[in-house]
Amino acid sequence: MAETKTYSQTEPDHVTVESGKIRLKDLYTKEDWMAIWMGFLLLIIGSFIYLPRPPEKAAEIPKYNAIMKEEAAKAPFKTIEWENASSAKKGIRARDQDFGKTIQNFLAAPSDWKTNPLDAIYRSEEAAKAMSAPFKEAADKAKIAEAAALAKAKEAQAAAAAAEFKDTTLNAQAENEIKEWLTAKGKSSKAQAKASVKPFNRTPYLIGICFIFAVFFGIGKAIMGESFGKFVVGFPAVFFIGVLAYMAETQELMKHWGFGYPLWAIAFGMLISNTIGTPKWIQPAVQTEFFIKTGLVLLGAEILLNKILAIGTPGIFVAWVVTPIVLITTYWFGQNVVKMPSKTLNITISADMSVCGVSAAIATAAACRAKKEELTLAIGLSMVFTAVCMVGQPAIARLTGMPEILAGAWMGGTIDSTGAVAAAGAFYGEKALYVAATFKMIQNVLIGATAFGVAVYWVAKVDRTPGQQVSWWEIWYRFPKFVLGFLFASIFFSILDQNMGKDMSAVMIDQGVLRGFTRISREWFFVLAFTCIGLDTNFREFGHYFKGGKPVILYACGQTLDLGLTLFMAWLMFYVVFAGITAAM
Amino acid sequence: MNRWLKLFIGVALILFFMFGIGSLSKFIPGARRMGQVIEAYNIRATAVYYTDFDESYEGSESIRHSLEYTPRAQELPPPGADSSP
Repeated sequence: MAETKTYSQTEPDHVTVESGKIRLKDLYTKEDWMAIWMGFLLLIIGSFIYLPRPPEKAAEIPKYNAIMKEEAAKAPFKTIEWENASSAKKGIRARDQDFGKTIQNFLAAPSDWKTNPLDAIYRSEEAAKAMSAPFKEAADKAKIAEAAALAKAKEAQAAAAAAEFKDTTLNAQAENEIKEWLTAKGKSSKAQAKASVKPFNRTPYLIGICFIFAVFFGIGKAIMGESFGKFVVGFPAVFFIGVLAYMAETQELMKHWGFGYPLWAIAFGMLISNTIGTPKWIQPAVQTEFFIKTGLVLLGAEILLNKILAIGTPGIFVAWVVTPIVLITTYWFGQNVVKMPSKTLNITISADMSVCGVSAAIATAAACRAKKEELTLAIGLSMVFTAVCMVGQPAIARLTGMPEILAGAWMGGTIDSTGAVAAAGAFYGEKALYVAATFKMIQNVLIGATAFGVAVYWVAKVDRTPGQQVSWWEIWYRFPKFVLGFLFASIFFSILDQNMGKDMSAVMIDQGVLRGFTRISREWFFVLAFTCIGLDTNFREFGHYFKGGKPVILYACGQTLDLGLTLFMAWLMFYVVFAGITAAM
Repeated sequence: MNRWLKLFIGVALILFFMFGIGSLSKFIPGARRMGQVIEAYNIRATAVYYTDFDESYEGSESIRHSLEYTPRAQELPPPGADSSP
């Protein structure tokens, strides 16, 4: 093992480095540009797979819209027919077609497990049957309960209809019975899923994904003038650690705590680099920047600008006013009060805390060229605070008797991690879950503006020497070019989303190109990137960042401001200024 | 210390964190219930973006339908109407 070292010296210390002046050659020799082309290639492939093949059921969307319109005009509450039409419409998804299922099955990450890690990779027919068996009876009971609840809801609705929906008591009774039926329906659906566990063997697929990604990125490296062979030799090791990180995430207890693959990929990578050392033959495949930038270009397509209207005007006010205020204030506080040792660490933590956790941290760290240790630190802090807030905030909401919509908006706006927001919302109630998840989605869209704003601010203000005038050309030369690909993907898919109309876009883009293909690829690229960060990080370098506990103080202060301001704005917007919208939800 | 021994200790610490400290959740008020909720809804609490889990789609589409096809009595009240929580 003589050919090892504690951490790589070939990879730069930063998440991304500036590209310098542009020559035509840069378009195929620089990583920033290559990441753009590779990201675009995958987006084009995804579009060609899904966009020409709408599901047959998509033709029924106008019918469901007509039913909802008619029912909304008829009754003062959402009738059974209204709910059925809404549910049927939500169930139309391009990725649910056979070819979509095949793609998702192929690219799927390891599955859930409790005590035996191999359960994440392989589940036999017998094991699947054994897992389903205890839930069969519960599923049957849930189905009967659903049918009974539906019968009662129909009866109550018929009574309200007989009074021409003019009797408020009958209307309220019908509305309550319909809510009961929806709850029973949800429980039944979840029970059915638990009672129909399917066998799988992910091993051949994982080998296939490893081969395809090795060749895909290897060709990119070869075009940039680096060795295809050396990259391909080292890649399986990086991929294997990435798979282990995925498996750690899907372990039952870690899933409950919200400790996801970024944490585990970095931890496993660091464990190797700081003990036995990253072997030299792996190092050509330790390409943090390449994986992150390509992943971010794909992430750009998921930033659909129209999503900011998903919860109406109050959502925009709360998410798009409070979040930038908290981001800028926390950064200012970090520089002027806490005296953070590094501006890039300060902005990465501020964005991670105020916007949306890991995804915002990746985009911001890449845009300002933060060091890998800084991104790692921000993500670690975020995961710890997320675990606390995920359990604490629903408890506080319950203690104070917060209405569900207010609680959902508060949790959606303040819990960092996107998935943890859904968990906290579900803990409080179904409506809180929907509002929290939608609210976080609106906030997620902010990372495009955040990354662009930070990139411009850094090249124009932070990176210049005092008193230096920076020309527009200079800004262009130093601007991280992959951000352009990220923004272009966002704008292009947002225009496509707008032109297709909300209904078809939901079916074909959100539930087709994105969730059916590019999202899964993007996640794999982030797993690989975090693994590389770990393989390339020296544990000792964290020491000076923790001096005086400054990152923790910054995070805690910023989060406190976020909690207070978001709660106030959510109350003001949802219950004072736009109370009518709240009533309609 | 031998580097392989360091690796072994590191792996042991990770396993202790996962199965030892992780299982403390059942003793923390609220954490156990949270685990049950995550299992019941099959939520991916580790998702890093809204496209990584279904609830964002379910939620946003439900809200969109509610706002676009609002039942007549729930239509927007005149500005200034009182509806505090």
